[in-house]
Amino acid sequence: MSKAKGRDVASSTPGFVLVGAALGLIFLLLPLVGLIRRVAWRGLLGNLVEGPASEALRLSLVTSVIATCFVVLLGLPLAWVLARIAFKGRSLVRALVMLPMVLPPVVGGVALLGAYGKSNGLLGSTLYNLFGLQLTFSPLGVIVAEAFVALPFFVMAVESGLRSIEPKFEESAAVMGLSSTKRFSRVTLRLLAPALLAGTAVAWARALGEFGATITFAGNIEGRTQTTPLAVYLLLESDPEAAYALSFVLLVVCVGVLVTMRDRWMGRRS
Amino acid sequence: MTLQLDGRITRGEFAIDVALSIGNEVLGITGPNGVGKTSILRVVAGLTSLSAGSLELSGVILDSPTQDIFVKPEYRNVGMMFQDHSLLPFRTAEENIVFALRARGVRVRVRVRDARAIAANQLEAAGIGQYRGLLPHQLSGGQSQRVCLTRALVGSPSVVLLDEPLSALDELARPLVRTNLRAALQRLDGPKIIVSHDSADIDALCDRVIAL
Amino acid sequence: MKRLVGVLMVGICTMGTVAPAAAASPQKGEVTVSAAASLTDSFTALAKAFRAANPKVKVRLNFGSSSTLVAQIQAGAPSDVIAAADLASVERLVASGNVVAAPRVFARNSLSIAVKPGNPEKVKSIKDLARLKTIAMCGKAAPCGVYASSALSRAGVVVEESNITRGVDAKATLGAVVTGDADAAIVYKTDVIAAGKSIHAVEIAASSNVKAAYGIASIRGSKNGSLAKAFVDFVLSEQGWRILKGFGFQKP
Repeated sequence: MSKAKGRDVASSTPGFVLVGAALGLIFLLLPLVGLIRRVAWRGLLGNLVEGPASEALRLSLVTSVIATCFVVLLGLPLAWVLARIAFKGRSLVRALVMLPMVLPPVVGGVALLGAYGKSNGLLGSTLYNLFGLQLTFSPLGVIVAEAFVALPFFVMAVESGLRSIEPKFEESAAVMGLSSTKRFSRVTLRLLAPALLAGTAVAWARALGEFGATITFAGNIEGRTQTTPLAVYLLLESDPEAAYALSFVLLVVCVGVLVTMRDRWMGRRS
Repeated sequence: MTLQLDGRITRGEFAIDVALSIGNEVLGITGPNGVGKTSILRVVAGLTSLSAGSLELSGVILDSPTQDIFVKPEYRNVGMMFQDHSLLPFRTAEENIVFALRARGVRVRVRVRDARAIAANQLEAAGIGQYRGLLPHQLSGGQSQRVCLTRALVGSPSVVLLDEPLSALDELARPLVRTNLRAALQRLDGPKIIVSHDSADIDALCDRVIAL
Repeated sequence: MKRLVGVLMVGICTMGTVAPAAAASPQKGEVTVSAAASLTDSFTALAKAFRAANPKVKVRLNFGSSSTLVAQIQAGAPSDVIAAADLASVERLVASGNVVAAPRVFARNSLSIAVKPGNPEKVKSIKDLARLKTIAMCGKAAPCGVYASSALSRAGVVVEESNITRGVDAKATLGAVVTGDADAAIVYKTDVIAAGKSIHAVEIAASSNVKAAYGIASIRGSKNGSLAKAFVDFVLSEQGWRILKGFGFQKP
């Protein structure tokens, strides 16, 4: 399928739109350039491989990946129910699920304390008294905080993906003879793959960058709960070079993920 | 095999009463848009249910609201071609046919190798063998429609339902496809329903016609 | 000429006497004060009193960890006054050229331990901190973090780094005990007093405790130089000291 250039109504763009887009791009890219300029290239590896920076990187990587797995496990069924089952109060439930997205992260952390805090959390005190399990100030708490803020992003992407799947594919598969479980795994999941990938990527990026909820709920313990964003914040005063180096790593990771995802944000189209 | 449909199909505020009895023949259904032709096909396939009455195939009740019986589409052994082609976008033309063969063959395991051979043959026979390695978005409307058609007829379905099977084909391709399709339908036993606007299609393909 | 009149006015105002409206016009404008987090309540009160004496002045308070504030000022933050929880922070600003004069001590503070109300872990002294699961302290580079480490080493107590959660400033550190699950926090005495019933205070013996000297200075190159000086003088005045004393600070 070829695209006729230039003269089509659909492919002409008003000038002011192009200007706006350019401004938007500059607005976003300038700080990134500014950050890259501050990185001390010579000592980069040294800064990252030793000390609090390397601890923070390792912790961030491990917790964000586990948190993302958690998010996918819980988010997929949630997105399914929101997309496919019409029940009373569905829009309210959907709004509640999206709440952590608009909540200031520190407030999210306070909310997590209210639920899972050892001292007077709704569930937390029970968990501690019965099983001796303390989520706060532990890597598990970091995972909980990261999953909490990342879940809505995943659900949003996947729910939208589910809604955009035309019924005809699953119907056709049913008529062909596939049971509902087989339809789900062989047709629906495949069609959902772009949205699943995009949702997972954005959830992971969110988990990786989380600060406010993590520091409030899981605290800031070097090696145990001091994730990369927290380390950057503290290092900015004591060791700015390490801080910039860490920030650069986060930047590279995010860009890497986004570049791999490039076409699939919008779903696979010809 | 006889398909007996005698009931009411309700779609929102719209309801249609249908009484059909189809043997080993091709029935054409024609009529204006929106009158319910596709709904009839969907009821026979099991994608929608009757609101009253019953649907039977050779004495076996597939759908009966009063008796609380409803056989799911995956158990009805229907070969259906949808109006808006539903080829799986992530599989090639050949793989789509293989998919259908293996889906149907859940009860009788069809090996991938066998399925591929059958798929390739069928596509050849339908005159579109050269497209078998292409993905749906690489095919033109007419080509993907012919693949859909081939897919609907593969694997010995008990009932064949075709919704506007030749609508995307240009005038040049139609006569050939009509002939092939007529022959393929003759080879299959069982009730077959074709919904179409095109009177030439109906004349060439159907033994009987109903106008809604 | 205007400046001389301004200075005279400041002099009159800070002496606590209010001249008849016709003779003395109070300061006007805006002054931005960067103050350590432990000064939150006291400086809010100081700003209020300063405003009462100079109704046309707006005092903008910027609280944070002293080390963060120093970094901000060095990066060009438009602040007029720095009030830090130690002298070293202000001296760093002198070294970087952001402050001209040496810092002046306007108050002293010492450390205290805060635990949950009812003292469930039965903390009696700083030595008990070694057996607790999680202790909140300020960042290693922040003044209160430095003081806390110093107090611990003077008491001969070793706390594993893996048991220390570091708060972004003194208030957040205290918050880890008040709202969070930390077993104890090492913060300033003034913070502990301010927290009232929401925590239980455990004293640190004078032999291990530190005497924190809080320093204040105006920042060079600020557009509100005279106002800055006025505010600094106010903090250093009798009236200023009375307010600080009310919050538990010790004499400079």
